[in-house]
Amino acid sequence: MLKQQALDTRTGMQALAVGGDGLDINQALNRFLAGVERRALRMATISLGNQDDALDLVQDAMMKLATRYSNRSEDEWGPLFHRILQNGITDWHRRTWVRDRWRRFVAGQDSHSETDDPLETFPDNRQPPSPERLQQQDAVECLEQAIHQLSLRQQQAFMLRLWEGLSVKETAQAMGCSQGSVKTHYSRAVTLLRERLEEHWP
Amino acid sequence: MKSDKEFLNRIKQDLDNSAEELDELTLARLGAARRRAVEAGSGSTGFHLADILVLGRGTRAVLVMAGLLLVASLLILRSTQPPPQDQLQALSLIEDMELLGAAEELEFYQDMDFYLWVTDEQDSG
Repeated sequence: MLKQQALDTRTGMQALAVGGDGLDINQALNRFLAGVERRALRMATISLGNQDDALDLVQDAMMKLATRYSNRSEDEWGPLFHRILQNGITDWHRRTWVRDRWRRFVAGQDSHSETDDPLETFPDNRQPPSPERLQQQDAVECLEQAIHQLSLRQQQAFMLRLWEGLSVKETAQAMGCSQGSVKTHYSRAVTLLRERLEEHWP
Repeated sequence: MKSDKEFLNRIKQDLDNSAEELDELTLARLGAARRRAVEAGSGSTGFHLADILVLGRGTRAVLVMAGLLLVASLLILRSTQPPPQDQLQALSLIEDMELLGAAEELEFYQDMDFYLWVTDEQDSG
C-alpha cells in the first residue's frame, strides 16, 4: 500500500528527472528541478512557517545541486537535493531559535510592538471565498499546522517518505541518519498526525 | 477514522493540491531561481573544481597555507633525516673528494674496498 504509493510518486519523479540518452544534462537538471520545486517549497514553507525564507532555501538548494552535483548520476539528485534542503531547514531553525532567544533576552517582557501594529486594524476588502473553498482551506491549514507541530525530524521523515516518495534508504541519506531512525520518526509522525487530525477529519 | 492507507492518501492529496495552487508570482520566482541554478550549473566545469571555486577566500587561504606547511615539513624532515641510501651516497661523495685531493698511489685506492673490509672486520671482531 504505502510502499506502492511511494513507488508511484518516486517513479513519477524519476520520469521527470531522467530524460533519455540524448537529453542534455542542463535540460535533465531543469526538468528534475521543475518536478520537485513546488513540493520542496511547500515542504519548506510548512516547516518554517514563512514562504519567503522557504523560497530562499529552495533557491539555495537548487544552486548547490546544480553547481556541485550536476555531474552525479540523476538517480542521486533526489536524495542530494533534499539533503541540501533539509540541512538548510535545520540550520534555519537553529538560527531562528538563537535569534529569538537573544531577542527575548534584550526585549524582556515588553510586548507593545505586537499590539501597536497598525496593519492589525486595516480592513480586508478582498472577496470572501466560497464555503467549499473555505472548508478546503481549513482542512489544508489544519493539516499544515499538525505537520508543523511535529518535531523537525518527524516532519522530514514524514514528508520525504510520504510526499516525495523517497525510499527508507534515500530518506536516511537525505536526513543524514540511520534507516532505523527514519522508520521510527515516520511511524511516530503518522501516529501523532492521526491523533491531531481526528477531530478535523471525521 | 479510516485505515492508514486512506488517511495517508488524503494527506498526500491535500498536500498535492496545496502545491498545485501556488500563486503565479511564487511560481515565477521558483522558475527564475531554477533557471539561474541551471545556468550556474552549466558554467561549472566539474565537481572538484566547482567545490574549490565555491570555497570562500578565507578557506582557500587556509588550504594554501596548510599545503605550504606540509611541503615545508616534508623538506625539513627529509633534510634532517636522509634515507639510508642518501647517506651512503653522501659518504661515497666525501670519499671521492678525499681520493681526488690525496696524493697516494692509484693502486692503493684500487684496493680500497679490501682495506675497508679489513677495517670492518677488525672493528667487529
